[in-house]
Amino acid sequence: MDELLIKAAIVSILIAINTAIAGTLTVFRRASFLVAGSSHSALAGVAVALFLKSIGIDVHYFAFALLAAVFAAFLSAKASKHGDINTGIAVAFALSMAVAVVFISMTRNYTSNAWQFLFGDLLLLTDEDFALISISTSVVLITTSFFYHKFLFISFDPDGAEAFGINVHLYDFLLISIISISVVSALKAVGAILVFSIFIAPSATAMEIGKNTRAIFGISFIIALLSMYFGLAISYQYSLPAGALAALIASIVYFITAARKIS
Amino acid sequence: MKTVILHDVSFSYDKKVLEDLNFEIDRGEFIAILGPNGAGKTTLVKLILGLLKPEKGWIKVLGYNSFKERHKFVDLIGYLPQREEIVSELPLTVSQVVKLPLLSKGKRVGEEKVLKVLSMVGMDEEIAKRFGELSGGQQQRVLLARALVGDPEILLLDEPFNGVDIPSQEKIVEVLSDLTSKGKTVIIVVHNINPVLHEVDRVILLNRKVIATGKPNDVFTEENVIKAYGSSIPLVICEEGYTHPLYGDQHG
Repeated sequence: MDELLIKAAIVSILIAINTAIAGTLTVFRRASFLVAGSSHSALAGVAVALFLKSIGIDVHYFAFALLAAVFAAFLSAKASKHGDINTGIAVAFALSMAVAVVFISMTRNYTSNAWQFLFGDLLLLTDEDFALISISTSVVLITTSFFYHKFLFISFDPDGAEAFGINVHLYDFLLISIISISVVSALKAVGAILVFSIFIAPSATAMEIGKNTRAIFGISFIIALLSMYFGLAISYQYSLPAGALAALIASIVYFITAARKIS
Repeated sequence: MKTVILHDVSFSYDKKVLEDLNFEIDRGEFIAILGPNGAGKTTLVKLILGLLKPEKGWIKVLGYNSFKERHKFVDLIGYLPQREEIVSELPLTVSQVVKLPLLSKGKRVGEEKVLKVLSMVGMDEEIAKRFGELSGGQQQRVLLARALVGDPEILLLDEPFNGVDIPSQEKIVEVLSDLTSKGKTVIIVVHNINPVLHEVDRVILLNRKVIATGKPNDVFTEENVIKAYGSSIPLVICEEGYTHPLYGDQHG
């Protein structure tokens, strides 16, 4: 079997783990838009990194993407202190897109790189990308397992959690940061635009059919993984972008499930 | 022993919300804090919980400064928040909801303990059900069980009867009365006192200031009601001799 395909298959498992954890926690936190905000903020970081590279300053995209996404997370968490978290995300989203467009337009010869970060490609990942996704997935897994009940408590009942002595703002920021790390780790594989559907659609579907939290994490993982595997298989046969196909499948599964529930 | 003491407490957000509050609550007392919408009831709850710092004065809870020494008494207060603030769409079971406060602090909770508090509120048979599938009254009883799981000295309940059916109201009142008879202090913040009026030891009538405090019959006078609500409210004496204010929903 093609080495690239094997690597893509393993990366799909890692991204599905991120989807199950970060996507589900995002849906629990009622902040689905956060994934879009994080990924577009990360794109601004990538754009700055690509610009610096084009003028001879060798920097790594991941650090810039992560920094931008966590900064947006910080703004969002601060905004949520005074009301709706989505307002903060929307402002961070607009700001980062403006930064991304300005820096991409100033960057020469790197437009194709910017394209990969926009739409992703599961089959074009380097060994370094593979290592980064593996490390960040481990960080997300370990941190979430450590603080899982706190994340659940602040999502379910922030007032109660605060009264019971949980530092809600601190753990909200940590939760949003974990989601941001997850999103950034999947950025090059599925792209800033499509990461939203890969992360949210499987978890939203799982919320429709899962009876408890464990089932929702499991169903979300399976839908994300199967969407990416089917996407890869179709992509291999017909030379179509795998990330886009995976996003398409995950979104269709969600709409079918939601429609069946309504009827 | 005094479980809660407020000394000259004032608090402001943009404008003054609470002014010169002075009162004490004894161990084992059943207290209702009552007032119209915007009276500062929820702010008072947050001050007692140590989540807000008094602008003036001080609050002692179980002998500790509520704001500076919150960590010393936080595990000794059971809190029931307003149910409207809870995200009941989360797929948590009743058992998970009851366990969450202790689990999130890294403490283990046995099934027997969960069953015990759930049976106190008559919800032990629903232990495996999804919280979101329960009625408003059942949800409130589960949240009361959650407040009890850490075996607190003080119970603080913010509007526990909102959207709650009569049988659940009666069950909640029965549990609270039972707890006070065992020496627990119960502080209940309500806009409608009638479900609990026969059981409380004392009422604190609040509208930014303490308008009156004492036995329900001493507090519910025409003069105090006008001071608190800004208008007259019919007062009716029931067969047992309690004065009931017959207001519409003042809570907005």
